[in-house]
Amino acid sequence: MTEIKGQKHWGWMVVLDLFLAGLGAGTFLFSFVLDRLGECPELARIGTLIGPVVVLLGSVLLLLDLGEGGHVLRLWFHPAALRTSWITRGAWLQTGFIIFGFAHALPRFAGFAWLPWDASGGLGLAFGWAAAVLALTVPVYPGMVLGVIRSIPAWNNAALPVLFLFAGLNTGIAVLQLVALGVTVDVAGLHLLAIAGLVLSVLLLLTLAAYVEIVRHTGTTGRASARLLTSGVFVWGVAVAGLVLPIVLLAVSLASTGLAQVRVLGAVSAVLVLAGGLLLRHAVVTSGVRMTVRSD
Amino acid sequence: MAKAKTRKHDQADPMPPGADYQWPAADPAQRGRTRTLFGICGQCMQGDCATLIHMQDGVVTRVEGNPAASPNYGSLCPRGASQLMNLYNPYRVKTPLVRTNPEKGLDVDPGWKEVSWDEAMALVIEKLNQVRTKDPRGLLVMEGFGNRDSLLRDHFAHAFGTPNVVGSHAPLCSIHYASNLVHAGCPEQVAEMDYCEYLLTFGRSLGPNFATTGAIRRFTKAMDRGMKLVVIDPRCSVEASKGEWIPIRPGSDYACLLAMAGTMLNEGLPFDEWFMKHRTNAPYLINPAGDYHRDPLTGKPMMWDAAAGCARAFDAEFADIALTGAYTVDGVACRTGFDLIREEFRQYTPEWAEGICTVPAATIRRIAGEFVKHAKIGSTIQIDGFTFPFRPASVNTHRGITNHRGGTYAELTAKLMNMLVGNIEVPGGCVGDSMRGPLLEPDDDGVLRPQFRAQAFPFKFPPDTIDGNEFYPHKNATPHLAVQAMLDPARYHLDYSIEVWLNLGANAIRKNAQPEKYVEAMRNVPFVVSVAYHMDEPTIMADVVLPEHANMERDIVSVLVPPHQTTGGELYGADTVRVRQAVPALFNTRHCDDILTDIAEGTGVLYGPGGVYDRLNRSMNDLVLTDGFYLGEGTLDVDRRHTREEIQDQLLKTWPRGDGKGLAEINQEGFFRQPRSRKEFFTYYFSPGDGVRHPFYFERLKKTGDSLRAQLREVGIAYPGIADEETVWEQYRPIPHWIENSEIQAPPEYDLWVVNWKSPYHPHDSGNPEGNPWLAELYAQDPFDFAVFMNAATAAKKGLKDGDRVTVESRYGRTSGALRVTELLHPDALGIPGNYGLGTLQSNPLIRQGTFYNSLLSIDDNTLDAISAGQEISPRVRVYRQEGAR
Amino acid sequence: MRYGMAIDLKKCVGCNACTVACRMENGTPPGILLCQVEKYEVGTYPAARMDFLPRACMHCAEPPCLEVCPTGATYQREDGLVLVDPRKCMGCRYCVLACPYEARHPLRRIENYYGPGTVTPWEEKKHKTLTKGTVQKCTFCAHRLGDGRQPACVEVCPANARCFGDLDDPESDVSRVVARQGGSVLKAELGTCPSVYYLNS
Ligand code: SF4
Ligand code: SF4
Ligand code: SF4
Repeated sequence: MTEIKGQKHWGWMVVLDLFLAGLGAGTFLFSFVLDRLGECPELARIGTLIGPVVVLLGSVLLLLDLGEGGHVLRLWFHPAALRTSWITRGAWLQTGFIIFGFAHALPRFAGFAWLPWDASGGLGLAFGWAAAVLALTVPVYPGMVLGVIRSIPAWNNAALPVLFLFAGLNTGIAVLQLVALGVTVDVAGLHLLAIAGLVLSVLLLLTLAAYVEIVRHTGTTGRASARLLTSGVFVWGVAVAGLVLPIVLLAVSLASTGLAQVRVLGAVSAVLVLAGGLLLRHAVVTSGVRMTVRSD
Repeated sequence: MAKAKTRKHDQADPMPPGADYQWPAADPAQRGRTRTLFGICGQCMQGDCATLIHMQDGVVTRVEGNPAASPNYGSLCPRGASQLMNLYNPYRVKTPLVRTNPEKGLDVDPGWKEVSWDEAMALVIEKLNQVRTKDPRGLLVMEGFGNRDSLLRDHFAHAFGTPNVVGSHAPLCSIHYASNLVHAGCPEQVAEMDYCEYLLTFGRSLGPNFATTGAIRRFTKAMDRGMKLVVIDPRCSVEASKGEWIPIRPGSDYACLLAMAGTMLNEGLPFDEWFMKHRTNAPYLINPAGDYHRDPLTGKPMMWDAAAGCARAFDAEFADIALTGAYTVDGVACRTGFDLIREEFRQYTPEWAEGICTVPAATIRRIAGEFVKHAKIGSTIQIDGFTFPFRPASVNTHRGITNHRGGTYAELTAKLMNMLVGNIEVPGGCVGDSMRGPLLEPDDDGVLRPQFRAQAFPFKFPPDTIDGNEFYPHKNATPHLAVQAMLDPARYHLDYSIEVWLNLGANAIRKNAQPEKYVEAMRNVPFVVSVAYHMDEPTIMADVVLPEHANMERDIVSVLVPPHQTTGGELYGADTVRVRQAVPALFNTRHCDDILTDIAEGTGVLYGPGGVYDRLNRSMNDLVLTDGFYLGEGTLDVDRRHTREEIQDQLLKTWPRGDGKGLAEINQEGFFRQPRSRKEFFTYYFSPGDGVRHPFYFERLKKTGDSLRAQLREVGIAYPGIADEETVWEQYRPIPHWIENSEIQAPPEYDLWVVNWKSPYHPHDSGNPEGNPWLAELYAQDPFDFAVFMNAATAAKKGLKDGDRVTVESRYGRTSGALRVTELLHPDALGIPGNYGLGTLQSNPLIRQGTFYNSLLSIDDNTLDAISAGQEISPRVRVYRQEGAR
Repeated sequence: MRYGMAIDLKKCVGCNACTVACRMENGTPPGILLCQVEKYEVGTYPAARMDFLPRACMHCAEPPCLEVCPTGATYQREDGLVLVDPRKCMGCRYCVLACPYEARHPLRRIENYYGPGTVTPWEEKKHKTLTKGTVQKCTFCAHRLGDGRQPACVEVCPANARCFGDLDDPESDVSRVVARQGGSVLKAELGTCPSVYYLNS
């Protein structure tokens, strides 16, 4: 049996970007929702800023990895590529998110009071809605970037964008659960996050199972990818530690009303979710086995 | 469909660790200049492809095939296309060197001192003058495939007075005797690919396997036209992959050939009766001693006239020549050679052979039948108005079958098969790759006058040469005999010793068996000079190193000689001579012939009668004779010095097939092509009909053996190095008979036979291919190269896995490497391709990588073929996993 | 006009002359083989054989590499050639992944064949024509076509296994040979419409 190898052109930097983009967008989205609902305002305020900061960080990493010199600027100055290239589309979406996200979040922070709009009214809110809509696309587009590559069956797969969306949102919740350790929050708000996290983790688990099954059934190359995907690290790291365990922890936290307990359970679950989310992206990127040139 | 595994990068790093060499800046005068030079490739021993070398700003940017010129017509092989890295090689020797450390070894730093050319040459000339005064035979000139461009090498040696010009390459490829005997052509015989319809090949490459350009062109054309190809080989080579592969146990081809010939002789298959009767000595009457029965009056061999019921001298008028029968002539009971051979072969049945060679008896019968059928016995073909017998089937053999004890017989057996269908030197058949001309001349017995190695060296005692001419009168180059004699002169009855070893293009250490013996012998020689391209094994052993130009820096003019692997249409119909224009030298190196001219002048052998120029005037190329250059007596003034250009100009102007044009013209045109009738390509044309008889009964072989034995007795010595003399004499019988090679009875724990093949990246030691990083990148990743190969089932039985580090051990030596499991190999074989490994402390590190096949071989006389002195190339081996390694 | 190639797999002997000629023509450093020959073992002993697959860029009519290129560096010419403009390429390697034929090679470093410290005059000269950080691919030797030359791999091939020309011209050698022998393309199911046909595969 020949050794199976995933593609080697994209590595950790891309993994980190996928992770950070999803995480940042998710953080923003839930913060915005909390804010709209009026829950945990301090957490929401911080979260709306963390979102674009993290996405920006991810983009910088990605550009460092992908781009050579000034050529990366062409990502924004070659709109023709928007017609076909998901990297270009992603760059624009992500940039839009970062701009609107900052525009929405910043007025609430010291030093930016001079901005002529404020977060919760008129223009600022419009920025917030715009960022929120884009935040839904930011975790999804990497799924499209990978998804259009027909010669990598493990990527060329409709479940991938969904998978990335759920995973991104889930890690966003996790970030908020961690931030919650240091800011004033209430149990109701945390429970809200826990419910969202629980639902997302279950959905993610199902999507994941579906994804692996689909991959397993797309030819020999897919089967090879599935073999890489279902390695021990993946099963124990991503599925068990990163999803099943958090589901349990969050369920327990829902049954509890002690703020401290809910906080800690949420935070532990968050750490697991984050680690699982990172591993998941890594697994997907590195298990992308290319079809052999000759036949499959 | 599994993609063959490629090697992991870490197992062989194709990048040598930084030599950190700073190249001198390009000559500013060349800036802005583009030029194209005519080249001739030197990346294999054939070195026959014509190239165009493109230079820009003084840098070679591209080398391509010359689209107008034969044999490659614009194409190149991977080595040819990599040659500029042979020029731009930082591991080259760049300036003359003299040793300061007296201790010599492959891994001992010689402590080189850089000296001027004058100093280096003065040292060399002084030593040579000393040895010349003492005994000129004390100079050994070791030559090899590393430099085939020297015009003066042999003439210098002979003018100096030494017979010891020894090739370092030949004992692993002893392929000459049978062809030189049966075709009177040298070097060998090949398949004719324009007309051949059925090619049966044993132990050889037809070109593709080791990628020679012209041969690949002919091969693909023949396959495209529908030629049927049967490859009998332990390994499924490139050729075998395109035709029918019949796996055979290594070293046992002889049994298979005997059985095929036996089937043809004794199982009622048709044969070319006219050819047998009129064009071979098969009907000659043989007396009970095994010699020709001779006419008491004329001394001529006789045949039986069946119509007249009497025997006559072979050249009398015959009504009906009897091919078979027993006749009493002059009171002597005689039989025809044909009958004797047939009788001998009765025991060699396919069933008998199957037990030895593993080829099923039914397959042997089938192939023999197909071969005869495709030969179309009786058919004719017209070429340029001449009617030839048309025999579009050929069996061809090569080093895979000749390099065993009994290997010469194996090849002679293939000749018997070819003669039975009458395909010698006719379209579609088996033809020599020598000069194309009147070669087929009868001797006094009416039988073909042999050429080259089939003419026995005369016996002299004490021996004149160190390389065993006296004991192996039909041998080719034999460095292994030379080295034994150097290590033990008394055993070989030498009354002088080698005092100076002049190395030129040779690598006897790496290109032969038992390298340690060569190292020891070189260490014992008081003074070693190496005309060197890089710091290879002989060069690090040298006292003085004279750096020579790389191939591309060496200007030459050269006649295109017929190639080794096959022949065909693109070569017919013309004689061609080409020029190689030199790329300006990069370093303080010189053209080998300039070095030799200076040495000859310094030792006083350049001028006058018997001097280098005189010999050059009178010399003709062994292979192509009058198709090649021939200056002729007095052309070069023997009393003054000539430049290379002057000599080249004269060679061109006097070329027997040329029209008087010289260097100035060829520098414009790149080559001269002289058209010639296509029929002249087949030497049959020059002696058609019953003009000559090919030897079918090998009486000459017996004669050599008889006289050698008598001469040894006369001087009262035993055959040196041989335990039981009968093992030699049995190979001098006139009829091939089964000989067990040295490996068949090896102890059973040596359960495999090693086989070696040339690879596209590494066929010969020409142009340093193994050190060329462009090729190294390829061979390191090639799934069919650069590893130790074993049949998958065999590996499973032994519990060995792909990638295991294994030790391979023969009774003579050992080596190691990474195992590659394959379906492309006979279960009894172990494959080690190319000639990787060994190298020196100062060589390109690439050369030190890989599995060193030659270390498994032996130079022991008892393992050699007694006729050709060829070495056994498939010793029995055992293989085991290296503990703690994977 | 659409340039294309036909490679006869029965003729190819896997010698890699094309690989080397390509390197010499395009000056590629170690590790970058724009043209390469895959070698396969087919069948089991004794019915086994070697198989060769020489390949480079297929110059697809529907090139997935072009589709994904985010900067417009990859473009398709009127004559069908798919090329990369090094001044525009940002080196993201998206096209490398998108190409189903492994025909694209990121040039992240430019190494030297005799080791880092040894730049041969040839490398010194040829490496100037390469832009680090861009993606390299076979160009069908676009720079030669104007002079009426064929791609280097075609001219060097000792087996004459390669035939090059205009696929849109039914009279060209390559069109004829494809029409006569019925060439096939690799991974037809992906809809890339390669311009490289394989004969006798
Ligand atoms: S076959 Fe290859 S190495 Fe030999 S002369 Fe031709 S191009 Fe050179
Ligand atoms: S040069 Fe020709 S024969 Fe050699 S590998 Fe390339 S395509 Fe095949
Ligand atoms: S083979 Fe690959 S690089 Fe070439 S055009 Fe097709 S997709 Fe693009």
